[in-house]
Amino acid sequence: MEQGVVVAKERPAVRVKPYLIFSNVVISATLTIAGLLGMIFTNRVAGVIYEWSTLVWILGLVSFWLIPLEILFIKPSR
Amino acid sequence: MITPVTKTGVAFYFLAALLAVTLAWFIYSAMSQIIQGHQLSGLSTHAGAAWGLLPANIVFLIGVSHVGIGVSAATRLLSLSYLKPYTRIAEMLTIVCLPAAVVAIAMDVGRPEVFIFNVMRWGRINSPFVWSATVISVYFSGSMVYLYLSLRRDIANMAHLVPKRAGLYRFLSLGYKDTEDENQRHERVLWWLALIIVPIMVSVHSVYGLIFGLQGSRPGWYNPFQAPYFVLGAIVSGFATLILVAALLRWLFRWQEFLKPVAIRNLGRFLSWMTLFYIYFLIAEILTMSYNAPAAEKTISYVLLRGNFAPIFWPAMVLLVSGYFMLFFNQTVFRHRFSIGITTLGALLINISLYITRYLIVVPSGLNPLLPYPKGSYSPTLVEWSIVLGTFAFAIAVYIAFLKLFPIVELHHSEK
Repeated sequence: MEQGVVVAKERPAVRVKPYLIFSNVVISATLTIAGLLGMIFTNRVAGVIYEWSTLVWILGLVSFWLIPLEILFIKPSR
Repeated sequence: MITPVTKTGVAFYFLAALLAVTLAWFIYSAMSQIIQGHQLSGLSTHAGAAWGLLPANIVFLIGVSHVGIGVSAATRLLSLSYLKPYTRIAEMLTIVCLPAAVVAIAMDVGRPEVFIFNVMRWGRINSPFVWSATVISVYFSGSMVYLYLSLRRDIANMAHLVPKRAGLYRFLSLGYKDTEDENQRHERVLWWLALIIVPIMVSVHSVYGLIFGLQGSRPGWYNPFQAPYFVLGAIVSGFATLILVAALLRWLFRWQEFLKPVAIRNLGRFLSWMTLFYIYFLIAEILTMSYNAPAAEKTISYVLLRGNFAPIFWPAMVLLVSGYFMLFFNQTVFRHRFSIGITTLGALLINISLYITRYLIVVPSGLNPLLPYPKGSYSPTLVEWSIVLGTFAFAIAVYIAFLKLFPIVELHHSEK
């Protein structure tokens, strides 16, 4: 490294951004699928969540909209 | 462009007072209906119509909400720059009409808290209520995210333009920096959002078409084309409402320089084509019901064309056709003397006609069931009218609250 050159450290949030988005996708997909299975199957084992499955399904779908916010809000500081 | 934000005239206070009175009366009517039941709204499952003015109102409001993100997405995806000043006007129609429709749905089912809990707790995938709750939730949340991201730049700039609210705008902009890089990132994300929201938008009104179209027990409803028919009706009433609201804002705030006639002209042109397709669907439906249909379908056709709903049906058709020809001649034969007033009047006639048509879709079929129930009668009561007016007052109140806080036309576009 040249003398006098300072390399800026990346903000922690920017480093974890891809992992955050990936986690969001996984959690949203899990909620969506769990809710859908709960609505389809009445068996408490096959239908992972039986009661409130519609709420879980809708929460899963709606939480996908957090992804554009994560893409735009988490950015490197200049 | 920020005149509505910085200046408050007498008309605003008058309108706010009128809306407050209407909303108070709505709350009283709604509480009365919740406590005493649907006997107050005139709806009955034994003799009479189970669905009446409120479901027609729901379908109309959902239809108007169609246009918001539709126009905004089309502007972005097809690079229709002349429509850009109108996009936020349209987006807000979605944001206000969807909750108003949900309020109407809650009042229509009679016990809102039981409805919401039962759907969320015990909903099954084969229930149209679940489809409805799903598409409305997804569309509304997506529209909110879309509106916020497209508004973020203007919120940040408002901190400089309205210093006494700078703290609020800085908080709401959540660290937005008005740089070229930031703007481009937002535009890219908004482009993809627009692409994703368009099929969701189509699904919303398709679900409402299917709610009617999948009911085999109701003559006049069971129809494979109800979904596209409802989507088409939504496009017509949505664009008609957009023209009305844009023309009103243009006149009220003297925004002739920002809201140019070319956009209203093109919106009017598009509306005239969509209205023509809607008239075609209507003719096909009436012909099918009248020609050699089963007896129950013919009964619906009779009550509409010659029976007790004819005094409502025929004036609605006159309004629809008149509105279409106003737009048609304004765009073609008299295009050199294009008039925003005539386009607005045509849009108003079409919108009134579409509202009446929704009522005629809902009530005649409800009064003539296939099952051997005694035939009753139905007419909207004062309570039902109060609730309908309350939903419109709610939508208008939220719209003018937005006008007082944020610019309804993109600031960076108006500066060009």
